Amino acid sequence: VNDLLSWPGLLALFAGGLYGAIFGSVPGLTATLAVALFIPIAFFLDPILALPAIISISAVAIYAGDVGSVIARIPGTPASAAYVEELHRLGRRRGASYGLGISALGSAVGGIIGTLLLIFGATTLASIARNFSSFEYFWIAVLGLTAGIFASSGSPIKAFISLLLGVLFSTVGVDPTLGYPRFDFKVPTLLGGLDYIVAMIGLFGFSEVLYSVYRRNVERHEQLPPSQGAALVQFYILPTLLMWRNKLLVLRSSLIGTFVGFLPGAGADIGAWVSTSFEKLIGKKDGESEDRVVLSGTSSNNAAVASAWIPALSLGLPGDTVTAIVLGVFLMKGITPGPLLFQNQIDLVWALFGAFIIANLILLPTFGFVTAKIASFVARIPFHLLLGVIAGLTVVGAYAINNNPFDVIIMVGMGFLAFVLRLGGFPLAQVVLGMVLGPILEQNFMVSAIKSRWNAAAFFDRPIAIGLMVATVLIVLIGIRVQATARQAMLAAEAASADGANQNLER
Amino acid sequence: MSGSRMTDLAFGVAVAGLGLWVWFFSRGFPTLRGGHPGPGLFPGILAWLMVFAGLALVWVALRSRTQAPSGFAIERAWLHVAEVLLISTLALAYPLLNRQLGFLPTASVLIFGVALVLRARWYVAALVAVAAAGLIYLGFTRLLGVPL
Repeated sequence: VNDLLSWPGLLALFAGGLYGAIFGSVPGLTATLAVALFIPIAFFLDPILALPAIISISAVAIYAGDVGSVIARIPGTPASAAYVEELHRLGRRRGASYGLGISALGSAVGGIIGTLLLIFGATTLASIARNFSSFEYFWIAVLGLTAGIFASSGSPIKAFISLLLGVLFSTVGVDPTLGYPRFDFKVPTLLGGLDYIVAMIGLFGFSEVLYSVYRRNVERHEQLPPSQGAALVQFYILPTLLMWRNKLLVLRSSLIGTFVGFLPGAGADIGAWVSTSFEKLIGKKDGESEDRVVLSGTSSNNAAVASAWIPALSLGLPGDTVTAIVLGVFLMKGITPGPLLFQNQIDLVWALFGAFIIANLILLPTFGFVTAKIASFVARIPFHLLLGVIAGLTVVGAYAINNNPFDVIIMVGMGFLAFVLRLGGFPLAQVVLGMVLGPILEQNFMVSAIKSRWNAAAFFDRPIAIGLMVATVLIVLIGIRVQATARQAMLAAEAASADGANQNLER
Repeated sequence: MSGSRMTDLAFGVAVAGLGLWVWFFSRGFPTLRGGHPGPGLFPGILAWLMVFAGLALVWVALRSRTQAPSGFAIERAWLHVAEVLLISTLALAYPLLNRQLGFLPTASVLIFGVALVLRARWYVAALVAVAAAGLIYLGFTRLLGVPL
């Protein structure tokens, strides 16, 4: 923690916050992209500086995603999409400072609640996981993959296919039992497997460039709407009073965000969708409805940013795409996440918790105000020029890590694959989840099978293993039920809109 | 048939085909002593799951009466596809050009190319390309001590 509070530590936090603010406020540039582009820099930094910087980047970028919503009705990050309409209308009605004030302070409170639960949840889970054997880790990987299928907001079949592709990529290189080379195509670099970090840069960085080129994502911002009254009052005082009046809403949304963020593969965006849908469904309909929906979404998504670190730190399972990249950073720094991290490198763990508290308590309220002010400047930079620079950074970053030309081929290949998958509506987070959980699944399955002399009953012997298996079955049942309900609701909505259209025609 | 359904059908067939290829490829992997499954077990399971998932996507696409909510139809934007391929080629050429020309000219060409493809004015694109390449160079070599 002393390292974190040193000048280099604070500089890493503040520079990360500024970088995250810029990325979040430009539509098309996501928190994941910001972290993916930061990897080559993180590679050469001390972990005590690199990891807090990533926390600062992701926390501020998720908030800054709301800037695009206010000024142009374009969510800067997917996590802001759930309440983009409400936030835009709020900004138009009461000024940008008020709308972004709710976002910043709601994000800060949600992030702090998520961090407190992260500290409690990660330490508890890590102490439970000390008793885990290969059987439990096998079931955890199955549970994580299953949750990843149903955590996707789109088609579960497509999420399943994305997962399978990720697991397939993880089988490249020597296998864990015999050391036999698989899918290496006689390329020596592939014997060690696909470089996870290079693949991440391609999946989230280069694919963004290709996708934007294809879709012509070159939107421009509008001017920020003028604030009503003193900006500081609009940004700090009025949103604080709103939060005080809606304490339970903030708490409920933060808890929802924490729970959703904890699930492997479900990130801040799904947390925001769930909590805003809940508020729209049961919330009061009055003059403050929009304010409450925004408050609900923004506190939920930043709580999810923190809670996604619970499985990442305690079990080595990614909660979202950012923590998937973080796990890659752990690996490249020689740090093994899981219970041993809490035994051997507890200082690092507390530094990370400290970084979350500083990011939410200090950076979000201060950077939030600064971001609102600089947003109009950032918005003037043409997106096509930014894309050129991003393309340059992804290629240079992928090459600089190992100075290996083959890494650029992998990066471009992964970027192109991610671009094609996005065109087909396939989620990318599940590819990453598969790449991370694939080796855990295979290694622990093979170890358990060989240990038990291929006796399948051994997988159902231990109480925690049975609990994890039951949880997996429950996720499948609940997931199918939720999907069926959502499909029925969609069909009913379509039928209602068709009826309405017919009635209009008859008139 | 809607474009989205066609896209899903194409993806379903491709995934099932990839699954069959993985199965065929992994059949040659060795087994453990005693004939127990070895390195081929996981790729084999993955292969059949891919075939199953690909066919499921085809089945859902054939049965769906409405346009799927996720994904969008791949438009016949051949010019855009050509631009995507051009940028990918520029990126792939980076290591080769970097060795021949050095970092600054190579990175500048790459950034300039992407900006031009996105219809930036050539002189603005050139200015930004040189400035960004210079900043990246300074950031990596001076701040991080990484040779480019």
